[in-house]
Amino acid sequence: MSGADAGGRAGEAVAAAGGVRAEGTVRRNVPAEASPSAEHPGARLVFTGLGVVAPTGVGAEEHWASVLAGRTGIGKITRCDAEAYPLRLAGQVPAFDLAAHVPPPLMPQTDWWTQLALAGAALALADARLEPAELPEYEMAVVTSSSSGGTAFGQREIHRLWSRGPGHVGAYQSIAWFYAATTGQISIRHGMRGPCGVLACEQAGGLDALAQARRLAREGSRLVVTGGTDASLCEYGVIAQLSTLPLARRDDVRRAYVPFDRAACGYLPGEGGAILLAEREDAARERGADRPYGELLGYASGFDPAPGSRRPPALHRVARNALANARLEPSEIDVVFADAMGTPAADLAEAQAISALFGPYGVPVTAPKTLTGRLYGGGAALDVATALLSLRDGVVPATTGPREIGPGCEIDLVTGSPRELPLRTALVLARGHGGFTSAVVLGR
Amino acid sequence: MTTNPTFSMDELQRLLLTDSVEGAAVDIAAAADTPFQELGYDSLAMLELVCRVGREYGVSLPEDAEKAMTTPNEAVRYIGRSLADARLEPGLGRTA
Repeated sequence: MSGADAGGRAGEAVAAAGGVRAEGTVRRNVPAEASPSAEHPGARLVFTGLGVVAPTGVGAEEHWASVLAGRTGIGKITRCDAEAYPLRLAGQVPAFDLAAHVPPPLMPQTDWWTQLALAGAALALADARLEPAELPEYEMAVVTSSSSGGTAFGQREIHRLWSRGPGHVGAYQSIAWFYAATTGQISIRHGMRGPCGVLACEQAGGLDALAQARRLAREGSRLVVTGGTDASLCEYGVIAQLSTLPLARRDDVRRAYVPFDRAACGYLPGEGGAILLAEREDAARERGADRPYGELLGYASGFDPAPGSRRPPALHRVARNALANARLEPSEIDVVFADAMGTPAADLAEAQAISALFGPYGVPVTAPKTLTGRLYGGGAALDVATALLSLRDGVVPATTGPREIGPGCEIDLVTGSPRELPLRTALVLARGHGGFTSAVVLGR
Repeated sequence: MTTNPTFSMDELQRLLLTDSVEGAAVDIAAAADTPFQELGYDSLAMLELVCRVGREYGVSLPEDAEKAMTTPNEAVRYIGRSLADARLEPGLGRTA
């Protein structure tokens, strides 16, 4: 299957890059990312279109308005009957005109997670005023992040299998569940025949996808539809999350997911994410898109040591390497978008990584994801979209929820109301279950 | 539309819908001679159609049935003929 092959290559590329970084040295010229066959070895990757589909809203501006107002997308789970489960709250994408973005025949063929991404891709292309039909089809690539695949679709088909028999399982189960389905459907929908792949790195995947997008741009792709979504709030998805992940089981919308707070008790899950249009800077300029939201200045990834190891978590090293990749000093970073896992140990580890790099209370830190829940494959992509809007408007959105910062967390967490600042750069951090750790530096 | 009384365009329209999304489908009657590919129905959609005919009418269409059904009109004719050959009226053998 070509999707699997493409995904494999992307994974290997990430692994290779991680191997270089694992030496612990700060590399300044990113040799791991400059392929020998690169046609555009130093190409810059800019973001020209945002397609947000999140609990905080559909469309970048609706999302951004919610974030600035502290309007939560968290509510009682309605996607499935969760009454019997110890999880009642999640971030769910509000009702919107899906049919405006997804052609009718695709609906029964795709999972909700893919439909959200198809809507996101359409929004991103419209935002960038880009007409794919006018561009060379093999120079348009698609790389998304996915953590759950099509769980709701799979649940329905498994139910049919067990209750009615194999003849009742739909033909589309063969592709709709698969991590690469979203990438494939976006590629087909918009006639983008360039390199395609999927990154399955849990919450870190949204950043890893951007790094792969930059590699592809340097190898000749003029644009990459990237970012990611996830949606796993069906019964099967909720059970799977409850059994392995530190979910907050409190019923209070405002106090369940409170990262860095003394009372942190885990996080709430959510659905959705953001699809971003990333373009090679010269290609964007060539078609008149000369005012992008911002640029991918740096990236690094790493992996946490095995449990019980005495080695430190990867986050500090990864953040430092992302800055080095961007050729920036910590003092040149204006805001940090935190991973904000929401468990005391993970929050403390992140706070320590941030203060080790920037000094105690050395940089404004925010985590708007308390308004959406953690979106897994879509989470870091949404953080990037939010950070780009933040850079555009010179506003650090507040983190809603936390009231009293936990012991040892020496970070300048922006709470209460948004903080207006002249912003040039942002560091976005992401950690995925099992040890995935990635960071990107964005510039305006 | 079709001269075959045993299987109608409306039936085909219904079979191309699935219960995952109500009412979301192309109006195939308005494009009865347009290739399914152009209407957005790919080979998996055709496989799904063949499976649904099997489930609802108890008639197994051959594996290469989709080659004989490149447009809605062709599909109506082909499925109608297959049902007649199996001497089944529409609805007979349909599962609840």
